[in-house]
Amino acid sequence: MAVREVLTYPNPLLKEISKEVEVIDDYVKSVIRDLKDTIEDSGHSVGIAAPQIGELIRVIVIDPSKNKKCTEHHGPQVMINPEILKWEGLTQFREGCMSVPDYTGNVARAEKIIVQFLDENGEQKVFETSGFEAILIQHEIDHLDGVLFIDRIISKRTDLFRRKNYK
Amino acid sequence: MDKNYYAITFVAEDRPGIVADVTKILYENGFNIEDSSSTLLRGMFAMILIVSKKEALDIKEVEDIFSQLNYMKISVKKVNRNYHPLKGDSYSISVYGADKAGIVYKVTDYLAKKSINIIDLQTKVAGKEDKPIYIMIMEIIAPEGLDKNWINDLKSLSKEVGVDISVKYIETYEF
Repeated sequence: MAVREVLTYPNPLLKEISKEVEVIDDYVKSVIRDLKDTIEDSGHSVGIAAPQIGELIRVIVIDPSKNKKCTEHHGPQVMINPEILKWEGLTQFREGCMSVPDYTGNVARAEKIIVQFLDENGEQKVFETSGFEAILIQHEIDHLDGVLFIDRIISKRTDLFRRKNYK
Repeated sequence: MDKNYYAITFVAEDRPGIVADVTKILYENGFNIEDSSSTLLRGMFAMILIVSKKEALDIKEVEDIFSQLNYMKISVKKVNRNYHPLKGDSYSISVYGADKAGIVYKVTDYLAKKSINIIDLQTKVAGKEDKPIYIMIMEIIAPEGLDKNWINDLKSLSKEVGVDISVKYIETYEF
């Protein structure tokens, strides 16, 4: 059990692509435990990805229930090798991240997703989710691919005032 | 403050190279760009930058550094206050309607009376020449604990002025 330091950009590990988990061995289990401890210790955090504590394996831990406004969710989850099978719709929210302190930006995400993953016991799971939980999962999976929300920011200005020629 | 901060604005007829011209001088004179925002408005390019420098300069000295950029209008202001990010709830407000005088004034005057801070504001005259539409988009921060009725008040005010308005709460997800 250990609360780990959450890495912040420009730590290069945050831009790495994490490896698939092949066996849920003691190492993977210890990473999962550390992720749980770290997210718990942070108080407000609703999700964390293994590379954020410097472990380059495809594991995320989420707890959407910590957001009081999020009423529909699947509860706390450990997701190993998570993969989004289907995206639907488009939504925009302002996101921030523990690994990029003091900065938030508008990010476009799929409104609804179907996600497949292995749980802590290696059982295959699939569920459909939308809204906050869906955005959270997309944000955390991005970390496994070395993608930060800054990579996905949409400029407010060009967003509002982009001109098109309709002629 | 361990550094000296200056707010500098540059306005010039647009052409490629304005940002490069300005930032070259900043770089060569040991200024750091802290926060900045720049935009193009009807052929005029405007930059506003908060820059910092270890050594203290007076305003004239900073202006002189940019004297070679004689194709721009430049203003320099010393930043004397420590900066504290605003606290409160963020909203995006869109106001739009047939073009007429006083839209911006009446809306922002109301916001000011409620101690609501505007943190970003853009206006544009769009539509066809004979039928212009006035569009104002802003982001504001309402102080914590402000009575939520301000949204309804603002909607009633818009009705009086004859414009449409929408107010959207901006939720920030910190992951």
